[in-house]
Amino acid sequence: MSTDKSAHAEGVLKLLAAAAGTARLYPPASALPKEAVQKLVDNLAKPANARPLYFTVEPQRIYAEGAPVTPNSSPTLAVAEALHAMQVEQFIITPGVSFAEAEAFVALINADPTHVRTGGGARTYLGKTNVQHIAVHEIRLSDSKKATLFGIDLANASLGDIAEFICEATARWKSEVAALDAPDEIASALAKMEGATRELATQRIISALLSLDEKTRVNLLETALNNDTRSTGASNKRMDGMLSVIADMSPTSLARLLTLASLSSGRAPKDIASEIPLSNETLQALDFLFSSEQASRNNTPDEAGMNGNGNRDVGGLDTGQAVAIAAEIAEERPAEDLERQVSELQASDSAARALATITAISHKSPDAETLRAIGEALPEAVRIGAFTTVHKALRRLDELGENAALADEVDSARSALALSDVLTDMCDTVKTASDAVIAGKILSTAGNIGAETLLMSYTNMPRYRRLLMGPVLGSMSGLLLGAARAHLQSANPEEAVEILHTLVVLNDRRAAGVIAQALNSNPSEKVRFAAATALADMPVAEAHQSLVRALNQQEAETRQHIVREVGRKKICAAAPVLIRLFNDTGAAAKNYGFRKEIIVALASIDSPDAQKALKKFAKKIAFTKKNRDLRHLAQNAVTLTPDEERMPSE
Amino acid sequence: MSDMPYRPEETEVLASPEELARETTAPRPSFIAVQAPFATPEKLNKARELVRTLAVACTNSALYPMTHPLVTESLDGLAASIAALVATGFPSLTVNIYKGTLFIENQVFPEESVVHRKLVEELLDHGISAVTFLEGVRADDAAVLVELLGQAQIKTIGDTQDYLARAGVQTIKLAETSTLDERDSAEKTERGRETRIQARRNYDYGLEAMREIEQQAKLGRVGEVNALQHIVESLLENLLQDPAAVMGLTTIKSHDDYTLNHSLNVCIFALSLGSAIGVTEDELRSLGLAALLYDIGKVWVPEEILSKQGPLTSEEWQTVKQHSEDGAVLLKRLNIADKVPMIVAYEHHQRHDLLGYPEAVNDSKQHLFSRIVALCDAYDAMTTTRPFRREIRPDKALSVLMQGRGMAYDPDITRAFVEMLGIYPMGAVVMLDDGSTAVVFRVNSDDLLHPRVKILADPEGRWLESPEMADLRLVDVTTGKPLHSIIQVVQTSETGIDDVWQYL
Repeated sequence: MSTDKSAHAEGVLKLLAAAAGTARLYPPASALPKEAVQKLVDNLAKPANARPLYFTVEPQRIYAEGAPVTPNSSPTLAVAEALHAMQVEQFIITPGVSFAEAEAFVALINADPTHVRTGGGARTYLGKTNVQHIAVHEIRLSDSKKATLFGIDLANASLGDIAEFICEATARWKSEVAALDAPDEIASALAKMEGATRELATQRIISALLSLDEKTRVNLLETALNNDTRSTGASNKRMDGMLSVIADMSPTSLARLLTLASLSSGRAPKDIASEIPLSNETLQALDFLFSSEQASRNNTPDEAGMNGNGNRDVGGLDTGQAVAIAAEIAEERPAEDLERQVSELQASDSAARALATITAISHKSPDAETLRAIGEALPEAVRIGAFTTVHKALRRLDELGENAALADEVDSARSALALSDVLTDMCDTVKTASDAVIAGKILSTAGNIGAETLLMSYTNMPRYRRLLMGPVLGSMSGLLLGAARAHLQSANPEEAVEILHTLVVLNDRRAAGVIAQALNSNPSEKVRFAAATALADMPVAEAHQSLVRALNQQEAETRQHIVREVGRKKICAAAPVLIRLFNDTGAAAKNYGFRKEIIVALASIDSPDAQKALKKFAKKIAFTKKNRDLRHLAQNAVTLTPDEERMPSE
Repeated sequence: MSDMPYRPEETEVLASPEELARETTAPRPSFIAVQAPFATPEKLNKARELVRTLAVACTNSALYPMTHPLVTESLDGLAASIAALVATGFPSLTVNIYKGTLFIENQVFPEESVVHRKLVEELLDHGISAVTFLEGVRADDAAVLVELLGQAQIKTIGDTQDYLARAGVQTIKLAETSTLDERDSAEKTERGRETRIQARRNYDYGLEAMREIEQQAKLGRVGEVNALQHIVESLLENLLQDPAAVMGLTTIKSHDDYTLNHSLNVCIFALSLGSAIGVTEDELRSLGLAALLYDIGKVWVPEEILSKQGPLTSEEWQTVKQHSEDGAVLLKRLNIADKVPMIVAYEHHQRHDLLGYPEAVNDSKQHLFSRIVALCDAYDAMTTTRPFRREIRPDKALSVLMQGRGMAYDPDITRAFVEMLGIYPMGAVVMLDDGSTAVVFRVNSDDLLHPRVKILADPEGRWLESPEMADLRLVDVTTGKPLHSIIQVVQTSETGIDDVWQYL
């Protein structure tokens, strides 16, 4: 059954149902029933539709060319019910249906079933209205065993009776073939039927043929071909009736029959087929079947030929092989990674592969479309850390970028990387040094966004990842500093502190200026403190210089923190400033805590200047308790000679 | 192997069946959706033990009084064996008798049917075709059952049920109709037919949609894939309702519309296999779409090359090999987020050992879906008649796949595929031991060698007006041998059968 034919048949059925429904609903005088019938006829008349259509009727459904048609419309269901009520089991519509015939069939569908049955049945009804191109096969309580005036009723006899008939008819023909008027009863029986019924009868003869054993079938064919008598010149007849039926067999059934006949006669199947009046369609189908078999034989010369059953002994499984495979399937095995692969099947796997595939095929189609596709695929692949794949894609972008015509698209593809959430997720996937290298390239390619992402995420990374990404920081100094400068102004204090920590790791003297700016102008004390610490921690002269300069700032707490830091890091260059600040007679002079910090810092610095200043203070006369505390602190920090202990400082 | 012309020079040296049978090292996923409940030897043995203890208890109770130690011991044993099997994950267990053969939870026990023939006869004598044991069966309950089987005057199922009810037994249920009865209820049959009809319609719609996509592809355009997504959705829905109805569609082979039919068949195989190995529904949709489109690149391969009967020249072969990349190039234009179709189009010929084409990117394994599609592609291609060769019989095709494991095909996926299809897949036309011709109607997952068949023609080739159903698991209890067995699979095209699907 071909899809086209069943689709066409279904369409015809629906038109028929519509025509029947219209005829039922509208009066005869209305134009609508005739229009509906005309539509049906026009459809059947199309050249592409010029073939018999077979329908099988069940109580609730009609099969159109073997394909069941769900009666989701009540008109179709109504047709099924109506015909079933008239005991119609099959109907055939052949090409050439006239308007009158179609109208008569519609009238049958709408007729009273009891009236039709008592009037002789649906077939009789159609016969009375001279319908030639539509035939019905009715179910009868008893098979028609009687030969009618025209011989056996092929449309209604049982298959067994038909099989008996064709065997007897063939035998009689064979016995009289030498005579001029050897009766071809099959041809006669078919010729006396109306067109559509002839089709039906042919199909029933074929069904009857198939119900015979293969040997008998082959004998019938050979008899019909009459090659024995033809070869002796006694007669040149063929049993055309039988051959016409055989010609209507399905190609595979026919191929089987020809193959068996070939085994029997020693002639090639195609040679036998050439003596049968086959349609072009059937010839093509047979040609396909036989030539593919021949090709198989040519290509696999070791395969055995036909066995006695007409089947090729072509490498099927023997019982032992089948048992072995079944046993292997049944063996219990431990779980394997297929289960894992299925459970881990995620979009992420496809993302990396998609990028890899697009990169690979970009060599075949290096065009704007491919570049757009790369740009679409990049983000997800980056997010999941498909570093090798992304690296190759970026390299490919570089190659494609050499074509000036594609420069814009290349840039656009690269810009797809500038997504901070994607890059943040990517940073979390870095596991190895090579990952870090590629991650660095990705972040660099992403420009400022990449720098910002790295800046913000670095300090939250676990230690091992920070170690891996350290070199990346260094390679992106310039971008990072620019990003830091922008962010330090606007970031919240916590973020700003993280940024400052990262800048220290950068180990770039240029960072000192950025940090100093934060120290001097950031509104958050927390940030200023962190900036001071950062400058102190940076092992570059510029940072310490900036820190020392910052000792002059007005904000007392910050200044005090700076003092602590210079002391912590023993920055000698700060000593003169510290001393000056200590000796300042302004408001600072009255700040006990500040002066204490200075002493501690000077003590920590322990340079000659610091020592000298501390000694000087240590010998000073102190009048207040706080000053005495400070003097004591200073004394502890220095080592006075006995003379120095006795002599008060000026 | 795919639908390419047979190239002797490219044939691998495959392992012999003996080597195949000896191979034990390849592991097997434990989660594979094995429909046979006793998928492990351990469970199988426990099921056998249940039958044995039931038979022993019945025998002992016939010989000794119920208070005899041997009887009480055997009843304890029966209760214990039931409990042991229930503990492996069954809230209830049903022992069925179907045409004289013992089944437990749809698992056939041919040997036990012979060894414990008396038990089978006793149950049938009392009108019992099914015994269901619920959780918590005690020795007392088992005692009532064996006592019942000793009551010769109880002949009907109603009386047996009353007997148990009067004794207060609630953990054992008896029934007359076996669940294995192939005479399904009319309602179930009608539902099955509806699903089958719908599946066929979806298949036909799919052909139309694929035709349209193909025509667009020839013009270098990728059409709207909504229609294809809808087809996949519909097939998936049908598959989940009635897998057999959909699998039967793969027997539809057309040499006129080979490419289109082939794509749909591969889609169906892939969906079925994906479902069997636990792929989620969402992922199945992606797999289905990929399976429809993976060979789209072939629209640019000249038909005379695809249909050539002899070996291809190297230039022709290079042309053919381009279709993977060409398909991927076309599919990258698909305006959908799912890139799996493009990936599968690119990878499906790379082979499991990555010795295929085009060259594997990053030396990474094929995507899981590429491996699934490659396998399904090979199987359907092998089992379809082409201009350059006849169809290969399904059992042989499966054997070829098994022998190609680890090389062309993923070993675990191949195993799952064979397990799903059966040694004799649905739609395979077989010759039985009596010479009759039959078509495999349903695979019995508990016994891959003995499917259910429909007998179409007798040994002399006479076609039956109505096919006869036969379950090849059934044994002759006097001989212990199956009533029927398969001698060989025959090529469909040689049997005179046009359309296998009509029988499924």
